[in-house]
Amino acid sequence: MLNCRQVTDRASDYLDEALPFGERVQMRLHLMLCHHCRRYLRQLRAIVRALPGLPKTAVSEDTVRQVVHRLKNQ
Amino acid sequence: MPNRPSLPDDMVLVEQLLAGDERAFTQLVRAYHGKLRYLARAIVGEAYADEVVQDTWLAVLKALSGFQARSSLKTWLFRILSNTAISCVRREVRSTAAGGLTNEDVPALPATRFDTSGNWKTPPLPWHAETPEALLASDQLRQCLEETLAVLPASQRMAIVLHDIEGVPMVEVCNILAVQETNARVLLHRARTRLRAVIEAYERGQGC
Repeated sequence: MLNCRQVTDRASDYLDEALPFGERVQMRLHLMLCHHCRRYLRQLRAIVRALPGLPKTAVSEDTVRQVVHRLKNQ
Repeated sequence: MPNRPSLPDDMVLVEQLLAGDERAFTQLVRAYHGKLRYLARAIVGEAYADEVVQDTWLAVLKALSGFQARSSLKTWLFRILSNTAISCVRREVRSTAAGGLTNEDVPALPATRFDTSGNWKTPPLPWHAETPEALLASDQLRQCLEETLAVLPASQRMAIVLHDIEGVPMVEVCNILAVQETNARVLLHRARTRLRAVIEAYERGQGC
């Protein structure tokens, strides 16, 4: 049986479905019994899912034009 | 921001680019310049980001005829940027960002959070914002995430920007970073753990 520390160590691989079958089963068993680790996973998952939504640096049409102009002149 | 037509299929776009179609170049630059700059900043820092992206576009132009769609165009662009940026770091040995390529910090979750049997001694507390939507809805939390991303060691930052922000598949992240999958997953986990620790501190009223 995994302990809480081992669960947190494997948390990313679990979220990414990258754990071998045996460890995935052990994680699920632990998570069924441990609400602290369930919360930890929930918080980590929320952050991972939030990341693509962070605002990207917008590129102005001026910059686009300048870059294309430079490329054309190469 | 007006709606832009989506990019054509990679090979179609490459053919248009090779034919010198200016509209295709504009589409490509519009779609990727910001992403490339974001990743360049992650590797070389703000001071050299523009230079790296400029060199990347020139390298893309030269290499375009060799694009064989073994990976997506996006991954191919990121790989060229990564190579260009790492060369830049080697050139600029005095750059403060350079050290971050090799120096990994310790995991953000300290051993003192657990008892001797490895179970929680200081368990995670509930957050006000435990969903992606709630995290993004708060200006301060969003700023916490962005500021923490900016100070991660460069290799962790590259791993999380490529995988979690840009959605590059893990196998391609490994190619771009030139590391084994096990190492890439460690980098990603450390980066995510650090972000979680920062949000946790904020939720406990300790600021970012």
